[in-house]
Amino acid sequence: MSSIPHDHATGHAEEPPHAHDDHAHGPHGGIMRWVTTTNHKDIGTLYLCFSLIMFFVGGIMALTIRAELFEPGLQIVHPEFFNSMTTLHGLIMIFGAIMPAAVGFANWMIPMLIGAPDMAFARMNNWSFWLLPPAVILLGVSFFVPGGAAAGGWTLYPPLSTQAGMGMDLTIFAIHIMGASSIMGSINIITTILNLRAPGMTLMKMPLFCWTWLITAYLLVAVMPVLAGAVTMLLTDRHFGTTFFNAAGGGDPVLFQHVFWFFGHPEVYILILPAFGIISSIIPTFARKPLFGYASMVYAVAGIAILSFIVWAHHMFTVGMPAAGLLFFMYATMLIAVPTGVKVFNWLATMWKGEMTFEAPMLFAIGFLFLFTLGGFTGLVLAITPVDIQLQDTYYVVAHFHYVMVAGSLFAFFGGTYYWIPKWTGTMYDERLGKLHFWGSMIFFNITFFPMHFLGLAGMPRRIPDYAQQFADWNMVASIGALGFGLSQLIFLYAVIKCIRGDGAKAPAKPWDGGDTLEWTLPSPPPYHTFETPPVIR
Amino acid sequence: MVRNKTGNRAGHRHLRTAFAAMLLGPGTALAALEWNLQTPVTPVAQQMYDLHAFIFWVCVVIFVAVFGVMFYSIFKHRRSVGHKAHQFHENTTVEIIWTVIPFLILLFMAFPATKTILAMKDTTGPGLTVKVTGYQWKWSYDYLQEGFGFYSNLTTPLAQIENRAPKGEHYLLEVDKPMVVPVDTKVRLLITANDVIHSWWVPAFGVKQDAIPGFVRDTWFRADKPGIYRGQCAELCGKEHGFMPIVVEVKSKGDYAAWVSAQKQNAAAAGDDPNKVWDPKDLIARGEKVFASNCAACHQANGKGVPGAFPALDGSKIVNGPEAAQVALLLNGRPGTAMVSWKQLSDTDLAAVITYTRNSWGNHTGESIGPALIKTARQ
Amino acid sequence: MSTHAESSDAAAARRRSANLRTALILLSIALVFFFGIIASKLIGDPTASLGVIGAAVLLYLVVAIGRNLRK
Repeated sequence: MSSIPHDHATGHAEEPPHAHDDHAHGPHGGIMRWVTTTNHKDIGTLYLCFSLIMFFVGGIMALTIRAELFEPGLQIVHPEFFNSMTTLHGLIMIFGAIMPAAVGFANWMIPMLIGAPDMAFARMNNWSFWLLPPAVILLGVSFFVPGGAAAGGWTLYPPLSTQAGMGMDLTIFAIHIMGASSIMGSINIITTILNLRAPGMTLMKMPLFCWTWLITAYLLVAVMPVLAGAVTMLLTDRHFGTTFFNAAGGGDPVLFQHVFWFFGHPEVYILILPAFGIISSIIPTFARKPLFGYASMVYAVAGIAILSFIVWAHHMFTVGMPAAGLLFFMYATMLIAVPTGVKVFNWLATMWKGEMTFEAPMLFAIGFLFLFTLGGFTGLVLAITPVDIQLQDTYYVVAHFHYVMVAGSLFAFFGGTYYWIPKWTGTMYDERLGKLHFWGSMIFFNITFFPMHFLGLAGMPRRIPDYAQQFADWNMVASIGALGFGLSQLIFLYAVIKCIRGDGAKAPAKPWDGGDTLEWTLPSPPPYHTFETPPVIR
Repeated sequence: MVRNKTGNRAGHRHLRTAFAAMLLGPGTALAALEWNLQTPVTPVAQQMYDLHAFIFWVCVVIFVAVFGVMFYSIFKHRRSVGHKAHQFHENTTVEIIWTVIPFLILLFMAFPATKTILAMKDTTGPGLTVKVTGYQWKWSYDYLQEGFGFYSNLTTPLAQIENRAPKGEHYLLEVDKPMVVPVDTKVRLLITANDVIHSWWVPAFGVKQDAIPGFVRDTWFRADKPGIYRGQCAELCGKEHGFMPIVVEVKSKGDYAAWVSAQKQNAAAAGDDPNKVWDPKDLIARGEKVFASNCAACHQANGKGVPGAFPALDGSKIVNGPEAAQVALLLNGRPGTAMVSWKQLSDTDLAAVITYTRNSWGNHTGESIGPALIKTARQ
Repeated sequence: MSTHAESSDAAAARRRSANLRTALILLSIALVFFFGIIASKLIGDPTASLGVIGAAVLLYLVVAIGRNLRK
């Protein structure tokens, strides 16, 4: 790993960042740099900034929902708008915040982790990113068309979605565009990992982050077209007289749910697997020990991915399946606990007898481990069909998936940001702010989402703008927590902006003494082009 | 599990309880807060309740064990206490153990769950069959053997929802006509929907079944205890999704028989003569009621609709145009929009509501539509 | 970079065509799924069709990873 060429790199490192440089290997100046860039680091930055903006947009929607639910009765928004908020909050957080954030991490880190000069298809990379803003604009415009934005839930179940106004068409187009973007991004990532690894970097030597992304990208290539197909059929049902999902014409509304969740369940692993990869990078670094059970981690991820294709109907236990169907999907779903358990145990074993320190990335990794496992347990409770009958479509489910999506994916991305931002910007983040952000997020997250378990058990359905009196107290607790959680994220924004502005200690090439992957062999920030001559891995 | 709170509790009272809950934690006696599933009143719901309790405690034990280890490690194996890292990174025995043990635990969970699933799906031998239909946004119950049926609408006044009046004890969980069933009888439900997917859910019975338009699904329950049980629609079905509760009254067998015969008499008495010639005033008065319970959710009580989403009837071309077009629209609906077919309403109700819309707000056609016209249009 | 211009050009061309091959295979998976899901609806019995497509993709995955593992 000592043979990294610095000759080319140093020539550019001395240039001011905004130099108008038409040199073939340097960035364009000004805004055109970002529009025309084919550099994996620039595109990674674009993805991450985009997802941060979308995170706040989706967050404001979440706060609107929590504000309306602060007390029983209708106070702030109309029920239609409330439904649009829950729908768009879901779509934007999934397709606008978490997925692009994961792709941003992949763009920045995968070439550096495997010793590649860039992504395999640099221009397609640019295109995958620049498809996202138009998609989000379509979603934004949908608020202003007759009928308002889509209000049938992010799952878009017909016939409710066939009934909706033009906002639904815009949402369908937005999903098509975001799907195309994801598929291109995934093809790029798979090709990069399979073809561009440095000599000696065998698949089983790759950092686990690359493995989780390789498998995630396969899942994306397989299931995004399924979603595209489902919404295309929805579109033709709406406008071209087909009756795929209309019982009156011989269709079946439940078939949409089967197709949607055939996409939807792998999708939740698409959202969490890159997070697993980040956690698998952070924990060994701060425990100063190699990752425990590397091979079993890879097999566990592959196992989770394969199982994710045969469990989809656990999202629809209440549609009235035959007992055989219920049993099959219950057993398959319970099986997922095995590989997931293996991963959690491996992380714990990595920490065991280590030499741990607790900087912000490690705090978020531990927070992830703790809360994601809690979400895993509620997942197990929900897998038991008879219990799920009581809990399906209640706040218990809302609590469950926020434990795995927010405390899971999002916390891992926060941890990953603090972990790699010294590398990205060349400036250390403010440790005090990082810790404050962690504790704020951790405490308010639990105040927001823990009571939702009780609400769901007590019988509060999800997606309702108003509720009966017995749910009042816990809802108020949750709303207070949501406000605190939202405000805590401003700390993150501030800490990130400080790093980007270079306000902080200068980061050394390897700020974490436990880090032993390739990116730490590069200077911080890395030169615009890295590993043009591949490093040699023993 | 105290659910009967007196209504009209001021906001700051909630806030205080909420803060108390945050500060004092679960150890404190907070009767107002819910912690667990509702008290079951059917054998299946009881099994679900026990199953949840069982899995919950298994999870608690695993959670404490796993995170006990993690926190031990966090406190002992840290640099600040001078611990040095041991560089081990695999151990096949341990890895096999922690793959096999969870698998065995899962088997223990799957066994009782399987039994409950089989019990849950066994709808044979019912003592009573009721057809339940979900509409945007209300439920209807048809007693197929007895030959009568009725709609069940939310009765919570708008003033309570919009905070202009204190909220009642059963805020949002009260209806005009609850479903009534006898105690200790296996009741089979045939569940379907008229427009979009709904879901019929009564937590105390352990029954949640999606109502799917065009398809009939069945489920069952056998209530052990007379009483009034409340639930809600559990599948997002449009803007009034939060406002279509389910109320089931379980009566003793004698009371139930009395209720059935009263219902039969009412049904006979209320049967409208389709050829009756109505006084326009009576027809409009009846139409106003039909409008309020079927149409006002979208088109609004003032007939102005919701701009962009639901058209106004006040000044509408269809309402002020030829009557045949309006009759056809109500009977057939308009595909692809929220305007579904209303042919399930009686001829008299349809005639009444059409007459009402044609003679209300700014509409003054002066026409009165008789039930006979609807009857002809149906054919 | 410029010392072995010819051979590195040839290597770059080889790599480009390898990348293109990988991408086309992946694209074919995506297209199979997109049209497969709609076709299975038109024909009927979606669960069987889903199973067939799912098996096809897993096969792709196993073959692709297997080829690379040997490298």
